Amino acid sequence: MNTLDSRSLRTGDCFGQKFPVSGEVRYFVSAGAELVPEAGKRSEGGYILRVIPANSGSKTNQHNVQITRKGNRLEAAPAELEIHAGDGVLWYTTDPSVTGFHVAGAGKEFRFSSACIETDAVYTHVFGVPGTYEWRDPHGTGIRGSVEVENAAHCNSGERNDWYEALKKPAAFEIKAGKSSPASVKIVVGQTVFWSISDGKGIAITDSRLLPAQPK
Amino acid sequence: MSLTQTHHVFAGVAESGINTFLKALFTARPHYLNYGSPLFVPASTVNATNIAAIPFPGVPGGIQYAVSFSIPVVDLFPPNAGTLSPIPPGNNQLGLHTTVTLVLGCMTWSGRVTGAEGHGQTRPIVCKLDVWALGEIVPHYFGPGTGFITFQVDDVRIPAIKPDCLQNIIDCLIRMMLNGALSNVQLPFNALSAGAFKLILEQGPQIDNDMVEVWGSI
Amino acid sequence: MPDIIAAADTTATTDLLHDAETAIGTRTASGGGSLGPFVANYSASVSFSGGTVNLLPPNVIEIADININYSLSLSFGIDLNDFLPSFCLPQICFFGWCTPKICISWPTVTIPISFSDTATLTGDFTVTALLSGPDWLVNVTIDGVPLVQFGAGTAALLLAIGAAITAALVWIPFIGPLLAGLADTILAVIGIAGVTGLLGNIISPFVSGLTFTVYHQPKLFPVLPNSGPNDPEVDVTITALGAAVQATDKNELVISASIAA
Repeated sequence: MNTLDSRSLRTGDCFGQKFPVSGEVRYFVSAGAELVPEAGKRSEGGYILRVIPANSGSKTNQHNVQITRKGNRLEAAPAELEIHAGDGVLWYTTDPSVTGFHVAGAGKEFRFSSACIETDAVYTHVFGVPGTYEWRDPHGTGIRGSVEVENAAHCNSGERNDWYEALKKPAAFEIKAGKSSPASVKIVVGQTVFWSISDGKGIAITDSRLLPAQPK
Repeated sequence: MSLTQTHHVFAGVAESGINTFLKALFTARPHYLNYGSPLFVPASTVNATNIAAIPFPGVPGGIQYAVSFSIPVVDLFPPNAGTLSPIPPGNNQLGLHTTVTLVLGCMTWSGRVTGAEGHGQTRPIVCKLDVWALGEIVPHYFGPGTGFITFQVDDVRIPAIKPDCLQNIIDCLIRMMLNGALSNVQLPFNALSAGAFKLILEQGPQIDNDMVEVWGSI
Repeated sequence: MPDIIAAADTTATTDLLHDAETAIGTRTASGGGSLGPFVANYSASVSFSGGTVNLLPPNVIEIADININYSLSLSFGIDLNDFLPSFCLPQICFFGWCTPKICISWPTVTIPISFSDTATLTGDFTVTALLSGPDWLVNVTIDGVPLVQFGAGTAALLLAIGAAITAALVWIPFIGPLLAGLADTILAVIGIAGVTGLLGNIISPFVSGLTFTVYHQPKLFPVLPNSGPNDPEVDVTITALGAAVQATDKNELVISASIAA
């Protein structure tokens, strides 16, 4: 529960992807592992994202898609979306029965995956348990960092209010040109950390304790 | 007066119980009461014990004989009213009554060493005698819950044997044989309490009130 | 007159009782019961030891302060939504993205507790001799509903529950700031009465009808063992057995037996 791993999204995690190119994108929501065959090789099933050309000078928008479990299937709502080029779609869940999901899709000229994030995307994670979290990219790019989460034991309403105000302030890592900065951030329990990925080579954000030890 | 007195436990077997134990023992193992030389008991079995013939120079094969006792009946002090025993038990003594059957293999032979006549003929001569004995209980205690009691015969009377010197011989002979037979009787301390406890013996065994009594702790 | 009489005074009877307690060994049971407003599942193991004896004619043994040595494994479920406020993570915006407001649904957690302690029991026991199958027994059986005293164990169990609650909840995401006082709140709901009630429910079946067997021998009583082909086992039959408490200058437990070859 509350595990740091962008390859398997749960309550408290979000994955956002911008769509710069117009066209139809077919995407799939699956539990856990990568799709076989991959999204780009599928021509039916899944969900349709229609990306229409943007109006000149218009603002970009964010569209949210919520993932829930119905029986033994994961479902996205809304099932169909029409967005403008440049808009972003944010996938998330608040369903505790969703033990982990991964979203991946492809169109004629575009593909994306929350387990292998490439560009113009964001991953967010709310930290619920105190501790120090060393994270790295399991795909071997060497991108890494750490998050120090402090406990917040509060006894009176004033201290609890201060804590709640702190939750509104995010911390962030920017991943660009194969590097992540800053190297580490410090937050309190309940705060959100953003990872903004631009021109990545296909990375994921994963707690190092979930990965095999790296050779020294 | 309490049964345990100054001790913590007491076990007592009444005269009837002692006799029941003896009956059970000798019924299961009658060879403790029946003995015979090879002519009468060729080999030991559960029913009889083989003993050697009495060697005597010139008697071919030795003197063959057999001795059997009936299951003894014990009379614990005080003696039973109207007892016929000529030696009734006194304080801390037991009386014992049995019947002994003596069998002699009476052999006749010609005296010649060789030939079929050299082996002779044997016919049994049987005599049954009433035996009254006087004895005591002997404890053999080895530790808590372990050990047994045995019976020791101190005196025997077989009435109406004459002359007196023959009576003395027979009395002593039967006393020795009876003690030998009773040496096999080992009544565990555990049985004295019907298995109620493992006794640490502190006093007794004592014969009184028609009981064998022991005291101790556990 | 019986064939065999065995007598034990208070000291020896106490030893027989303690041996009988050891012979019972450890008994186990499992089930469910109320822990205040919660339903607890438990498995328990109980053994007995100690106690002081007072012999009362004609057939009663009063035993005081028998130790009931018990070990419990119990668990109960807490729906934290009943004890924690509803809580929603605020919307956060950064890098041109905004996360949605996410409301936390607190889980139902199972609290496991292991606890061991000793209670005491005092009561009157009736002495009875009986033939049970092939064996003669002298049983000492409790009369009615005994008094079980848990002493400081009740409060100790409540403390153990508190510690178990904290240990079980500390790893629940987002609970840290709300954990202080939560264990105390739950304990207040359970209360000493809840713990006493559960302990009573758990221990009662072990002491109801509690029987110690101070004499146990086969009806066909072995006097001498088999010691060879010509020396078979020698047995007597215990045809009758009686047990009673007799009073003279000392009170004694007296077992009497009749035997036959």
